[in-house]
Amino acid sequence: MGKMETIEEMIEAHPNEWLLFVDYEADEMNRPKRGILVAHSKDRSEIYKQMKKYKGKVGVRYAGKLPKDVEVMFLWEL
Amino acid sequence: MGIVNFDPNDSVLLVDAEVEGLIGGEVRNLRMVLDTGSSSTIIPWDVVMTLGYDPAKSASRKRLITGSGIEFAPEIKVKAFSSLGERIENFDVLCHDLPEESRVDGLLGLSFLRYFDLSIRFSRGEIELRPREGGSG
Repeated sequence: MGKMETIEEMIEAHPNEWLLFVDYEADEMNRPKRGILVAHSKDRSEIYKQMKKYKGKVGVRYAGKLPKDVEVMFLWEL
Repeated sequence: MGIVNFDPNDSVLLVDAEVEGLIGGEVRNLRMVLDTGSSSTIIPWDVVMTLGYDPAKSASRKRLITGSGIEFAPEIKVKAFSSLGERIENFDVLCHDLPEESRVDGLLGLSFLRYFDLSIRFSRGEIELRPREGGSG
C-alpha cells in the first residue's frame, strides 16, 4: 500500500486520469482531502473494477475537468 | 450545513458525495454533478455492487431519458447518502452509469436536494445547502 497524500497531489501526479484512493479523510462537506492512492487509469471501468478489491472508505475522482468545448446535458427521470 | 465553492465558468456544478454500504464502515466517495434537472440521484452500478447492494434484484425500475433514448434503471435504498455536509438515511438512488466522458460518477438530483434549501450564488461561486425553513422536508 502506498503513502498518505493529498487529493491535490494525486491530481497533479496523474492529470486527466481516474484515481482510486482508500482510507481517505474527508471534511465536513464530504470533500476528500487526503488518502492513499491505490490505482490510476485513463479507463474509468478499470478503476471501478479495481474498487472491488478494497474495503472501508474508498473514493474515486477524475483528475481533470470537462473540456471547454463539450456541451453537457444530463438525463432525467420520467 | 455549509458552503462549498465552485468555478462559475465550469460546464457543470461538481460536488462530492458519500454512499454508505450495507455493512458498517463501507463508504464510497464519488464526484457528482449537482443537477436540479434530474428527479433522482444516480450512482453507478459497479459502485453500488461494491457496497453490498444488488440492483438486479430491485423490483423498482424508473424510466430515464438519455441522449440515446429511454432506458430503465433499478432503484435501490442505500443505508445513507451524504453530500454538501448533509446526510439522509434510507435514501433511494437509481443505478445507472453515466458516460465516461462526463468525467463524473453520478448525479445529485432533486430526490436529495428537495429536503433542504439550496442556494447557488454564481457571483461568488458558492453552493449552500441548509435545513429547510420551518423544518419540513
